[in-house]
Amino acid sequence: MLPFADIDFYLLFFLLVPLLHLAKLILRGRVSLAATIAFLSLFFVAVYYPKPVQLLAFTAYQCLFTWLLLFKWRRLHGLLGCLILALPMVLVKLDVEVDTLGFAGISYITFRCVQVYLDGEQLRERFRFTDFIGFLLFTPSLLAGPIDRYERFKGDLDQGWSRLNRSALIAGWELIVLGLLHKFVGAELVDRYWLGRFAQESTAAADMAGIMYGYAIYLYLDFAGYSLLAIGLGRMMGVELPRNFDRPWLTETPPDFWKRWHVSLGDWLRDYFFRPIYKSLSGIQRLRTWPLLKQNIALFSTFLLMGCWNGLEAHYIVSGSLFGLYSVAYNSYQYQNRKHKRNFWGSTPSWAVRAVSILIMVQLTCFALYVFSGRFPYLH
Amino acid sequence: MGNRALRLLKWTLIYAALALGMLWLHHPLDVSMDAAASTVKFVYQQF
Repeated sequence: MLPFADIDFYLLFFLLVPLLHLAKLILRGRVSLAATIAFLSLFFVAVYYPKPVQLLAFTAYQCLFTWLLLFKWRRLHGLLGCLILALPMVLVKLDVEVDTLGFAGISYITFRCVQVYLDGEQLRERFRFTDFIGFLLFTPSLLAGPIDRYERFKGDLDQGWSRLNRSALIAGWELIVLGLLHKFVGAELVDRYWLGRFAQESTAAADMAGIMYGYAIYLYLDFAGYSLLAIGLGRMMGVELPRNFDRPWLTETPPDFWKRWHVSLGDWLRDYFFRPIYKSLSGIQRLRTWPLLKQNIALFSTFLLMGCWNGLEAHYIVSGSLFGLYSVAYNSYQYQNRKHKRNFWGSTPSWAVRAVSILIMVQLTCFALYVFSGRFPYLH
Repeated sequence: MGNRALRLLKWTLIYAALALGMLWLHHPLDVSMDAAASTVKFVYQQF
């Protein structure tokens, strides 16, 4: 069974969470919360997860190579290390041996391993296998995030059994109720009674607009709901996963969008893809006098990678490129404004600037997500 | 007091919307309990 996908999962965890809270009374002082979480995560994967052999073999691969890269192969170039960790995911994305290697959630585990590897300097002293396995396989975030950070996750577990308390249970329960409302009521309503009314292949402007706005709302409700469920269950198990959505429809600029929509992915891409690329470009002598070009190359590559990560189909790549173009255009506009000390909006009231910015961003975002959905009729 | 009343109202609306939405869209009363029973039994056997 996949997390949060069917009723069995909810029943299982509504049995296991009270058991975990009861176990606190017996295990406190004998077994750590980290070891218990790692055991529960392994138990779920081994017994319930589809393709458990692949997932466990992949976890063993990641544990081995993360350990080698952190402690033995310290002189290896960072890019090569990342390629070793990302190799199974890349093979699956390239459609090589998908049935043998592939399983749901491979990307998110890979992201977590790359984070641990690239932050190795700070983490080496605090690295522990029990925490690492719990971090990689933590059931609530196993399938689709949010993408946590090792040091933050470990910080929660280090606080021990005191993390499991009444307020964590109540807060977790409230998030789960909100998640259920978003995903199983809101998204379902939009899918059934909004998107279901339009002919999916239609090229009529009204149909395209209906699908474009409907899909953006559907995707938000579905994914934000899923994230709330994951965060809520994590909270009940003593781990405070990072927030993934923060009122994305109030976005004013492209960089602001990625601080509000799938935040944990946006942060991961910024820290472990954009910054290393920008740093490498800064080392190129010819680009020394072209700071804007360096930024724009790094920005566009980051979003192009995001598109390719979703899949190598045209609609994913074009959608990633669109997000890249939005960011490059905005970055260039900001750069020129700073350079020439210009203010495009003059004395326009700030509320009007904000309203127009939000309106423009909603259109741009909905269009990019429409392309992402694979329903855009001119891209087949 | 005002905050408490607002919170109560907010969560009453949320639970009502969830209950009505689930009943209308997913027919939870028709879900077979066989799977649930086997899950509970399996977990019980593990411990």
